[in-house]
Amino acid sequence: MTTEPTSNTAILDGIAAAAREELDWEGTLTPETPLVSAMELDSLRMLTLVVAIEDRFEVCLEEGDEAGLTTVGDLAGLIQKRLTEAAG
Amino acid sequence: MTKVAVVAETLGEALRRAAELGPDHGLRFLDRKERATLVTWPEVLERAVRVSAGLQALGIQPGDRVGLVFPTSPGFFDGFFGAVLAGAVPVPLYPPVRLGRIDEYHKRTAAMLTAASARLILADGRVRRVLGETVALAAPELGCLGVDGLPAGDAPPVSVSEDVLALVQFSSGTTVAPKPVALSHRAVIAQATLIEAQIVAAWPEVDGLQHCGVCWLPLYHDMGLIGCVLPALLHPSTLTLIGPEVFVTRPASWLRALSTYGGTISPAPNFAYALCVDRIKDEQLEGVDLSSWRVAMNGAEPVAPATLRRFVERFAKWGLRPEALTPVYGLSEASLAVTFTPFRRPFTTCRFDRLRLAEGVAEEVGTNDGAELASLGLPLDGFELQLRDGADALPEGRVGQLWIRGPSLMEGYLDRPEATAATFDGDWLDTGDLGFLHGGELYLTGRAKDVLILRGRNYAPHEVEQAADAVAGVRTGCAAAASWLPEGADHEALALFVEHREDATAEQIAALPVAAADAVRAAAGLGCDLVVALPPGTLPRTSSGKIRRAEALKRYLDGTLTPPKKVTPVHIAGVLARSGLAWLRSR
Repeated sequence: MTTEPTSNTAILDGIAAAAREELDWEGTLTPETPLVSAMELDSLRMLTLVVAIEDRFEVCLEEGDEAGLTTVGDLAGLIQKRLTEAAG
Repeated sequence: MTKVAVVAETLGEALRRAAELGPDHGLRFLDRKERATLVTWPEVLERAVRVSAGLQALGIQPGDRVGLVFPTSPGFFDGFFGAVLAGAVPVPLYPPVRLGRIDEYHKRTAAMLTAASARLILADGRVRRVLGETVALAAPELGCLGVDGLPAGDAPPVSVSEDVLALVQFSSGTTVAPKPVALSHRAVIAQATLIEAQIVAAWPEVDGLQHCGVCWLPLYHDMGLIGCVLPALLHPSTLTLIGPEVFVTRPASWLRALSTYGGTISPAPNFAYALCVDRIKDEQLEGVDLSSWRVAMNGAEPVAPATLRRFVERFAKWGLRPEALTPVYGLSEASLAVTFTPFRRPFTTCRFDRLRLAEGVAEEVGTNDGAELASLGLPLDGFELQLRDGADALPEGRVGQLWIRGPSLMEGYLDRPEATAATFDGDWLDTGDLGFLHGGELYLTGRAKDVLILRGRNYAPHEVEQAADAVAGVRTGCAAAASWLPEGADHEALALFVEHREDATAEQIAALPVAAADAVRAAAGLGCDLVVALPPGTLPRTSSGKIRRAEALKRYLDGTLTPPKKVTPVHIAGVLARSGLAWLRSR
């Protein structure tokens, strides 16, 4: 999206925007929000969210990336990690 | 120009014949940005011959089962046809979903590999990195390799007879007793030939019409592999392939591919048509022309009349032919298709008297308040249908259990003689589906078998029920999952009935439905439409104590699912119903 480092707030906002646009999800996200239950992510919605995030942040979330991923904050951390890898 | 259909007895022979016709056709892979890569049939063959030699050098023998874990990509076909040319039996399995529950995935995939006695797993490079635990659990003798990790070899392809197994597919992915469906070359070639012949008979290739398919269905699904790939091989043409994850996240990519490549045939389960109506925005279809699409089969899950109408109305302005929508019926045990609505005829629905239907008699009514069902058409050439009540054949218009007989039935469930014997009566196969014939055409009303059908895929109810076991206050092993198509709905609804423990607190009972729904979503990736907490002993059981799932659902819908003794109102307060289901709100 930009070449500047993306802040945690920007990442949370990006996740919320992706969920709003692609999942018709309305709500407020905090890093503590549980990912699966809050957004009712069945496998199809999860995939839709993943692809929307990949497009928005231009990162690649891979198979096996889910280890330890339970909250929105965990997902934001993973996106941050991928952005850093891409920049480095 | 009319092309000559390939005549072949085995898949290997079919691939060789298609390749001999030259490099005009093949497999076109579209990526996420809808960029195309063509692999021609001669190239598919050349690559498969190399893989076959490598497999033989590794020690793969004719009849060995080879698990395949690939996304939709050229690698899948290297593995599939490579195994076929080595005389081995490919077992296509689904790759892990990104950010999906990998623990469940490992267990389920390992159970399927074990059930198929896979000697080797071939997998995509990206997938292989996360497959470690699956490989450790299933422990195939020759391990897990990529096609480029095979040793070099020069053994020529192995000739096999049409009687040996061509592939193994699973009727449902499950951790509990997965049933591998074993299909011979004769069966899959017969099935693909029937599909191809029926299309060409209805839509001859004259006046510039040339058939070609578009497929976003997974290749580990019978509708994708047998329904799309094999007909493209037998009637050599170019099949355009889209990854299922691309379709479900960007459904417009399917319709754009049909328009761009002039696709004439493309099947999908009912949910896909609903997804298109709900998710595609008009501006995503700029310049799209769907008039080339002659046959849009709708099968692999119950066909909802409402979805058919919504799809036809919505996409008419992009040239969709109303007669393209074609409700069909099939099952993996029959290779794929059993009935087709006659092509070139718009889909038809009829309304039947509800009370009479509940009594097992299909009586058409002229009014609008009857139960509306879509016709699934007529049996394919060589197939016969029989509705039975127990061992007795029923006449037209009577509801019974559907048995079928035909040229593409499975050999049986792999290495499961008891399950096979329970499914066959001579050469008749019990589909486990309930329905009736009306005007010679098939209508389905429900299922006698315990299976959940969601988004075109079959799930064993155990998977959902086991997830509920972990919830506080649940009586272990006392849950029942069932799915059905509510009237007017676009897809089957998933219901979960859970008995709470005798000593569960009122708070636990009240929280149980939401907690159970969360547990199911996390473990199985499925959203429940209805969760009902019940007092112990409420679920109907057989004399041996097995829970009767279909009966539980029926009683709930009838309002007769009642506890064995008097309970206070708090006991029946725990119900969660997804808001989208108008029929539930009205109850």
